Amino acid sequence: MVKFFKYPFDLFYSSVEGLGKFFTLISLSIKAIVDWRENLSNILDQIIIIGIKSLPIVIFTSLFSGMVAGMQATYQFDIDTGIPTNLIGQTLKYLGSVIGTSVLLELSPMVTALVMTGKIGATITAEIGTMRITEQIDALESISFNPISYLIMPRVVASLIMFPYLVIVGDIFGLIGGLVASTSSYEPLTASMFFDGLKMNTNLVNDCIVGIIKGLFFGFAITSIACYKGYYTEGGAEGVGKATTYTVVASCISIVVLDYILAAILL
Amino acid sequence: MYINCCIRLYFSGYTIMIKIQNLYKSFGDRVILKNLSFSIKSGECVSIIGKSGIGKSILLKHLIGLMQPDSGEIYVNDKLINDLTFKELQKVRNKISMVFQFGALFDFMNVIDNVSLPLKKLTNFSDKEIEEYAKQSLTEVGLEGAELMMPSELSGGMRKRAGIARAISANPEYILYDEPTTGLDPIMTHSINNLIKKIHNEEKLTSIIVTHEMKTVQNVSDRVLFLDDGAIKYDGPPSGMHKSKDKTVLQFLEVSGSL
Repeated sequence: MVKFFKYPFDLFYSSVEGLGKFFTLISLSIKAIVDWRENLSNILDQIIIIGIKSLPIVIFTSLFSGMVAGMQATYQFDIDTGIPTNLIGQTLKYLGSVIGTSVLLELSPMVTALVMTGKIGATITAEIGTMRITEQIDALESISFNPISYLIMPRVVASLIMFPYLVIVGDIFGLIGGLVASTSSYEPLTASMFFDGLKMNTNLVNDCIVGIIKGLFFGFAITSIACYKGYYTEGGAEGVGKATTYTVVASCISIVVLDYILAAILL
Repeated sequence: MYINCCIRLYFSGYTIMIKIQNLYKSFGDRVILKNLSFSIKSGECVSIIGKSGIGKSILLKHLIGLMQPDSGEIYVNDKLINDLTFKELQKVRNKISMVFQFGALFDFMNVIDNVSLPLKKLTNFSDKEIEEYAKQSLTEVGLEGAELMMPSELSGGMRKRAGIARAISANPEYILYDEPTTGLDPIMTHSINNLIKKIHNEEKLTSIIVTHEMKTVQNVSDRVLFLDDGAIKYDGPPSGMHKSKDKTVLQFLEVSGSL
């Protein structure tokens, strides 16, 4: 009975403690950026893992999400929209603008972030968590390495550098997917009409920048949550599994929440 | 390496030591270490024994600053290490090496890179010198030829040897062993015990071994600290343990077949 009433207080206490540990670890990893020269090879390794090795999956998912956006836009246009037949030709070109905005502003950063949560977030937590439970982090400390400079900072820095770049790649392939799917599924629409629509959108560059900023925040959120859960892993192999699951769930939630907050601020 | 050790001991005037005063450590409601006090002289080989889960490894981690006590003082070379900053603690850690229970080799590096890492961090040697010293350490522990193997390719005994090679590579003053023979067959246990003894005698180190194997205690150490219920129940030579009046000490000896 006492346990039942104690539970909410324990939960509150552990949540506050967890938040405190999270922000301390992140502030220490930001402070550790001054040690970048010593850890340059680690940063470059992480740039390759987070950026270069993630390219195929980002290209693949962006291409298909762009295709879905293109197909859905033409489907909505194809059903009875009430637009007079003589005006359809003029309004068709807006499709390029609509698809472009969807891809640049929302689909590319969001899909990239969600895919990277599974690929990079889970990997980072599993790697650092395994190092924690097998005492490799203690071993690093015992030979005078700062584990935050050596393990956490390179991953955070690499994600800040590579996420915007991945979003740009996602933008390009999302637009290609949108173009291919919309022109092939809706005959009246041609590639030149699609590009005319894109050019008409005066906010295109702005949309692209907003998408990149979102990518930056998503990347930071995913990596910092993953590093935090890995660094404080407890309880053997089961603990690593739990920490990895938590990372994926917490990252997905934070991406959606951040997406709303950034949209409210930037749009 | 031997000359380095002699020079180091000569200049230190044999005063280097570890001192622990009134150490308390608890996790939640569970008190692990209660008012623990002892000191270790330079050149001593001390075994810390006791039942599993009694806090032996926790005590060892306090000595290298991997854990902070709730209260009490830990001195290494007359320097209080409790409240040191990370950089100050790094200077102390440069003198202490630790061999972890399962080796704790970095699984993203091969054996030679694992052994070279402390040298890269703690010395200004050239890459060639580092490789030479690392190979020398591996030869010392009988792991020549395993330089390019990954930790996942090593057996339990080889992992422990590689861990010992990494620990001795940077020429420490103190070496801490956390259960160096746990999980090994009797032949490998004997071999690791001999290796610890050889390193202790040849390198003139101060060795602290956490174990629950009486064979390691009897073969290697010249002093035993028996830890039970957060306190030291026996402090003396291994040969005098059977004269102890503490029931747990006698029970430990009896069960391990040493009485």
